[in-house]
Formats: sequence, C-alpha cells, structure tokens
Amino acid sequence: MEKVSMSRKTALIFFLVFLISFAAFLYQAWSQTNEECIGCHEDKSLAKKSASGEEISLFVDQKEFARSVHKKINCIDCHADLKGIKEFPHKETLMKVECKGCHEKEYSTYTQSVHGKAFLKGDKNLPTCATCHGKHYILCATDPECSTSPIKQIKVCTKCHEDRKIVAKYNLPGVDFIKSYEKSIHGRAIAEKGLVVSAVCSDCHGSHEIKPIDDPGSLKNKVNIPAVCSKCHKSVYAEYSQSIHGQAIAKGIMDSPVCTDCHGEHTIAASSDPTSKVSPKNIPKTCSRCHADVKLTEKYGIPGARYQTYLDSYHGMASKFGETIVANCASCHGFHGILPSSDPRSLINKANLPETCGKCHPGATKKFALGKIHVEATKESSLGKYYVRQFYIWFISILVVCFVSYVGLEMYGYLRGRK
Amino acid sequence: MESIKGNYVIRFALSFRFQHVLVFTSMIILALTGFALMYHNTSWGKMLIGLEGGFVMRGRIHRVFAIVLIFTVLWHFLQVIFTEKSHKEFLKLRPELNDFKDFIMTLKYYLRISSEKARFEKFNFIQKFQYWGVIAGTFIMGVTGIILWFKDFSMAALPKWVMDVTLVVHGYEGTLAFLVLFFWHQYNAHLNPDVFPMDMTWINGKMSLKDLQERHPLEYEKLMHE
Repeated sequence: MEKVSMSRKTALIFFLVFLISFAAFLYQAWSQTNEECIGCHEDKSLAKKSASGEEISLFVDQKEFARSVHKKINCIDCHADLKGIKEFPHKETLMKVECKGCHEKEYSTYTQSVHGKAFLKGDKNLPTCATCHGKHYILCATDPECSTSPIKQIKVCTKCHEDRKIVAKYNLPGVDFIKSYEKSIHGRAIAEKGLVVSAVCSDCHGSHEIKPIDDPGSLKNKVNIPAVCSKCHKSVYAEYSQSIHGQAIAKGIMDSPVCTDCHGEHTIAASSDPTSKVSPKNIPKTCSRCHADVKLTEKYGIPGARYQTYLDSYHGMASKFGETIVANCASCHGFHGILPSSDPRSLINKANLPETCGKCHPGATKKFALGKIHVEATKESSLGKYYVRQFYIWFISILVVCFVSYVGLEMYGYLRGRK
Repeated sequence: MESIKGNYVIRFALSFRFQHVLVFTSMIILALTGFALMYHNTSWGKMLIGLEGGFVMRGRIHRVFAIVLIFTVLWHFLQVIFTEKSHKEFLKLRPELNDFKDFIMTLKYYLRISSEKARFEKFNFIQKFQYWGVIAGTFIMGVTGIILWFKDFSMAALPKWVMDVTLVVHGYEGTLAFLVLFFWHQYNAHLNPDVFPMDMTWINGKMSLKDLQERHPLEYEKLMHE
C-alpha cells in the first residue's frame, strides 16, 4: 500500500513536471518571437501613413538587423507595448521606444545635457537616442559603419549643426565655424588619412553629456579644456601643467590661456601650416593678444609692449616679412612649458640665455645675455639706446638748422649782390 | 695737381671721379635698402622692400654695396697715402685754423658786416667739411655695419646692449649722412647759383680759369705763379 502511494506521488510529480514543461513549450510556441514579427515586417511594401499623410515604411531589414548589436534582443523587448498581444495586425501607433530600460546610465547623462534638457522640456525636434544612433540597425561603435564611429559621427552631428535653418532657430554657433573643422589638423587626419584616433566631435564635446559652454561641467568650459586635450596629448599636458599658464589656470586665474586660446578650436592646425595660430609667423600675434594688452599686463604686473619691441627688433622685422627661420616668441620662451625668467628652469632665465640664444647664435655668451632683450629706446629700458638716440636727434637737428641758415644767408648775400 | 690746359684746369683726376661715382651709387643704394628696413612699418618702406626683391634680397643688396663702398674708400686711402700726386692733393684737404677764419669771414660777408670776401685755396671749408664728413660717416657706418653683419661673432664678443646701441648708431648715422649728402651736397653741387644747374666737374674734372679765379683765388694765383 505504501509502495503504491509512493509510486502515485512520484507519478504526480512527474505529471506536474510534464505539465509545466508543456506550458512552457506552449508559451514558447505562442509568445511573439522575432520570427513572428518578421513574418509581416520583412515585407518591403509594408507601410503606414503618418498624421501628416507621409508614408512611413515599416520594413525591417533582417540582414541589417542581424549585424546590429541588438541582434539577440527581441522586438518586444523594445516595443514593449506589443508584449502579449494576440491580435494581428497590431495597432498602428506604438509607444516611443525607451532605451533607458537597458541604458540607464546614458539616459540619466542625456537628461542633464543641453539636448536632453530641451527635449524633456517638450521640444520634440531635439535629438534623442535614435537621432544619433539610429533605430533597428545600431552597430557597435568600433564598427566603422556605425553612425557614431569617428568617421560617421561627424555627419550625424553636422546634419543639424550645419543646417542653417536649425542653426538660426536655436542660435547655435555659426555653420562656417563648424565647417572649419574640416580644414583643421584633426578633421584632415580623419578625412584624408583615415586616422580614427584623431579628435572628432564627441572627443572634445562629449556625447551624451554635451552641455552649454558656460556650464562648469561642460567639456568646453575653460577649466576643463586642458584635461580634454590631454586625453590624447598627454605629454603636452604634463608640460603645460608645470608652466606659468597651467599653474595660473590651476589657481583659478581664468585670464591665463588654455590650449584653445593659442591653438584655436575648430581651426586647429599644425604649426607648420601658415594659417595656424601657432605658425612661426602668427605666434607673435597670438601671444600679444594678452602680452601687449594694457589691461591684462597691468592687472598681472607682467611686462607690456612685448609685441612692439619684438617688431622693432631684427627678429620681428624679418618675421613680419614672412621669414620663418627667425626667432619668434616661442623660440626663446618655449611654448607649452613657458616659465617666468625668475624660474631657474626657464629658457629665458639669465643663466640659460646663452644656451637659448645659442640655439641660433652659437657664439652667444653670458656677457651677451647681460643686456635686456625687449628694449625700448627709453631711459628706463635702455640708457645706452636712449642717450645715443637723443644725441643723434639733437645733432642732426642742429646740423640741419645750421645748413638751412647758411643756405639762407648765402641767398640773402646773393640777393644783395654779394657773389 | 692741376695743370692748365687752354682756358681750364683739371681739378678732379679721373680716378677720383671714378671713386666719386662708386661712392654715390653705392650710397644711394645703401640708403634705399637701409631706410627700407628702418622704415619697414611705413607703406613706402614696405614698397621699397618689395622693389628690392623682398626681405632677404634687400639685405643681400645692402651688403654687396656696403662692400663696394668699403673697397672704394680703401682704394682711395691707398691712393692718397702711397701715390705722390694724390698724396699732395690729400694734404690740401687738411683742416686748418684758416678754414674756421674763412667760415667766419664768409658769414660776415653775407651779413654785410664786412666787405671782404674769403679767398679760398683749392678746397674751401665747405668742401673739406664734406670730405671729412663722408670719411667719418663711412667709417662709423662700416664699423657698426660689420658688427651687425657678423652678428654671431659680435654676440660672442659684445654684450647685447652694445649691439642695441650699434643698431641705433647705424640707423641715425645713416640718416645724418643721407641728410648731409642729399640736401647739403645737392645744394652745393646743383642748386647753388654759382653752379646751377650742375657743376660739371664731377664728370669732366674741369673748371674754367675764370671760375677758378673767382672761387679759388689762392689756387689760381699759385698756378699762375708757377
């Protein structure tokens, strides 16, 4: 008896297991698989009409979908409102697909961004996930075909940012400014050389987190720029952080230059490019934007009139006439690692000047470096220059007066018949 | 030494005339190329640099004609030191106390304080002044120019402030030379009523006996005496 009841129990368990398995099988068999959706959506002519009467294709290319990062995801995982429906064709208007279900972190970053904030305020024209990433055929970002890959993302961003109507409507930075990127060293590296490690939009501006420039969290905010550039230009950053400019920025002195102040932004070009802000010919102008600025030089007690005294020197004259094998600011002061002359590491420290000048003038000695470099013909700047100049001005003036008087006298004599 | 030939004397020997041409051509070019750099900030300075073939070519032209000028002056000195005839000429250019007296006398004469006119020898005080002016100017311009030219050697030997001063001297001494030659010498050689429109002596070396008697009476008398 006991044996029988035992076997019944066992049978019951087996039966239940079978039942559950069968239910699962049934569920599997009856729930919507991707194949089921494809049944209709592989039809290229499948379409619906939008409210404005436009035809919207409902075709989903299976080949393309199978390449996408979401190939293992079910249709209903994204189109969640279709979960469990049994009647086909299903309703035409579906809920917007919500990516945040899986991509929560990206979503929360996006909601803080300039794009996300405005979108959530109700402007449906602003870019959302699909605007940049696409819909059914999203590829892995490392795939060159991916819409956000270095090469493709430029097109994604410029679709709006080079559209003059959109730019005007939202008061965005000018189209020409955006376009100038194409000619920059970064733009050309990627377009001409295929160098995908070159900086594209998102490298400098961020992607989900794009913010207005005055936001301290914006990558383009002055405080963050050195760090942004340092993602690629590491050694330059190390040198810059040591420099007087880098130290000042670290102290919060925002008048001090960061990378973009000297190099430009979208127009950034190699120093060998004559249009570059840091080309030998343009460097004096770039530096003098601050170092010849009366307000800034007075505010920080740094010597002014650097540009004029440079231009008056032979170096300056030659540079102005397009000679490039001539000292510009950077030749003597350095560039990323600029330090004040008081610093013993500075290229223009008195002890280092013979070596610095010696780069071009091998004979330069310690004695040579004794004099001031940027000299004005004033008493305060150079007594020798001042007095010699004063002497000549007086000497020449007096001589001219003597000559003119003598000629006048001689004429007077002639007129009075004294030949 | 002058020699009377018919109704004129040869006052300016051929070699000196040739040196004069070399000196003034090189000086005009040196002035044009020098001022182009000194006034590179002005539109005419820029235009001159352009005409001179650009910044580098301007410098080359300047240095080539600096060599021409320096060698002309050296040649002149070798000639006046070592050749007897020229040496005697050179000695006539010695500045003397009489030159100052002549100057005062001329002033008085023009001012009608005195009716007595200064009587000059072969070279009057104006001519001597010009001659020594050119010599001194060329010397200063040459020395400062060479310091600036061979900058690497100069930088090894001199402090920077000396080179700054050198540059100032070179510029102002050039201005001075230009003013003296362009205005004062042009006046004396062209505009002066005695010679207007041009004293031809620099080309043919000649001066008529009549002019000589009038303008260099002592020289005239000496020649007649001989």
